[in-house]
Amino acid sequence: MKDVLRVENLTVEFKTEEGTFTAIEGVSFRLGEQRTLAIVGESGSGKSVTSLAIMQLLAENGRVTAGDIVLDGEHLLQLPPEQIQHRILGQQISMIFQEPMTALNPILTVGDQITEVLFEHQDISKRDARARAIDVLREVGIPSPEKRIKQYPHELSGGMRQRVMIAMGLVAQPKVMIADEPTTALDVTIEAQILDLLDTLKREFKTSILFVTHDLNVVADIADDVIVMYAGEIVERGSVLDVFEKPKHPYTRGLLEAMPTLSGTTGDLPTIPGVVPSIATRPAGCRFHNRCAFVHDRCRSESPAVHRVDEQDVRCHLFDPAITRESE
Amino acid sequence: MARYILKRLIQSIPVVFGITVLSFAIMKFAPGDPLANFIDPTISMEDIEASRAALGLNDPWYVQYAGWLSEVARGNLGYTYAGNHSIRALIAQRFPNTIILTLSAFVLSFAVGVPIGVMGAIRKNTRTDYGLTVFSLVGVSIPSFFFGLLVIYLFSILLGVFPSGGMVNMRARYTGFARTLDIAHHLILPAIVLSLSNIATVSRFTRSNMVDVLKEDYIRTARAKGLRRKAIIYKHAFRNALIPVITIFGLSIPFLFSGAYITESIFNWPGMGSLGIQAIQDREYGIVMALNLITASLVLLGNLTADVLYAVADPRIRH
Repeated sequence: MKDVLRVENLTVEFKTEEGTFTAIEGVSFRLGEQRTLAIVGESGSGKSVTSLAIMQLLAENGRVTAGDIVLDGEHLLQLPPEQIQHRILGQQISMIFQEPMTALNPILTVGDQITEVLFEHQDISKRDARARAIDVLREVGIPSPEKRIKQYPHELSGGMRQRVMIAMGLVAQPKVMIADEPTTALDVTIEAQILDLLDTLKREFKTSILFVTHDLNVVADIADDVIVMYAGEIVERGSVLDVFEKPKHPYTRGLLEAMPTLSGTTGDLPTIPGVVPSIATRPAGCRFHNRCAFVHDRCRSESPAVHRVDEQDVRCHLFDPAITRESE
Repeated sequence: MARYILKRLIQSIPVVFGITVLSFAIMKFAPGDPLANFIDPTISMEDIEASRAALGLNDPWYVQYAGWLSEVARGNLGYTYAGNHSIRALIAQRFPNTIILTLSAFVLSFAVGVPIGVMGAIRKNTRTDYGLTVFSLVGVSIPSFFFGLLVIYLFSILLGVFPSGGMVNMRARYTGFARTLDIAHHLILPAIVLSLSNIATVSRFTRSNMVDVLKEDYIRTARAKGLRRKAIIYKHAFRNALIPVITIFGLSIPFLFSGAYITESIFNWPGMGSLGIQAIQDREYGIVMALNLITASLVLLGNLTADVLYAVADPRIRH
């Protein structure tokens, strides 16, 4: 299968007054055509930084210091900013955000915010742009789009606004759409609708989706493949079926055990003790070692490599084929 | 919208009424009266007292106020104590001149202040930004009477490019377009002096709003859409940043009118400000009250305009 988006060894640093910190390190993944890849992790895991780095929307003090981002054969990090702005963003890769309340401009109409993507990147007449906007609004399930395009964001409900965001993201038919927690701010019934919608649209618009979330239920619902991030690194990568059925990394196992299920036993849900270390206090060795139930000496000093186990990639010493595996 | 404007206009009537009561009372409680200027050793205290009684100056202030109000309600602004001139005629002569000056300063404040603020925001923490910050700080700090003398010294005396005062060249007696040009030539220095601190306020305010707006999520959305920088700054950020600036729009009007008192005196500008200062010194109550009435109405009108502009600029408060 062809990869639309390939990220190799991506490393992002942030300069602050307290020094320079590495937010994500050695992040690599591939996104196949019309596939959905979920990046899952807690706050501070680096999942949002990863997506913003791909869009080149990092804050001013953030910088990609190593790695390669290849979108449909083009090395994005080697393109000048004008090319990124003019040819790539909005056109070949788009992004939708968590808060549809604040991510839409309050003083521009819905139609204006959708059509400006077309005017910026395509040679298109006003009438055609308007027709496209109405079409795409209908596609995302907004009733009477002819009326809606004249409305302002505050006149729409949260779910409707997220649909408008999706319409904006898809109107130029990009190859990849990044969705950064697009349903987190919505209530669950609307969330389910939006997830269904994204799945349908992915096929209709022949788009691949990079879906950033902290919610494993959402991952199970929408993604084909998943990468699990912890403290700036990918700790596990594989298909959703494999990772959910046979989680390898202790962190992934912990996350899945902490997930409530309908048929599950009553009583307290298990949790992972401790919290994600902040960017400045990441421990030496394996970054997860001080929360890990399987910790041993090597974890405290040596950073684990990525090992291929079955169809999954795991960053954990437990799966190092060079040592005898007593714990399994 | 028309109903809203009408409602606001009706609401302003008691406000204007309150302002006139207050300013009348304050003025009356201040020591001195119009006759203090006419004191002549050959006139006896009894005669002065008799004129005072004849003019009604011995009545309680609220009786005098009622008298003033009933005349004003009939459209009569009264006559001066000295010379018995029509106050309406005096003001009619001066009013347009003050409007020319304050309006120019108003336009200048925003035409210069807003771009400076935007430039500072998009070049945040660069030398340009720091330079503009220093300019603004100096602008708000420097008193206009000092700045006025400074520009007169520089541009009139040293360089000789602008006249030091007045509104027209008395000797030239220009007419038509030449007169307009002459007035404009005289207008430049006082308009700059009057607007300086307002330019500073407007630019600081615009800058901080613009800086805040540029951090908004919808700016990130606009960048994610691949819009060019100009579209992001002007279409998405600038219009949102301008909404709070409208507040300054309304506040500028009283600021400029009171500033005009000083500026007009420095530059001998024949407007209401210099008339007002003279009137206060002479205790010409009628003139002071007429000026208060006009200024208060303009300020209220300015605030109403600002509120209407809010609705125009921001669809969220349109209905």
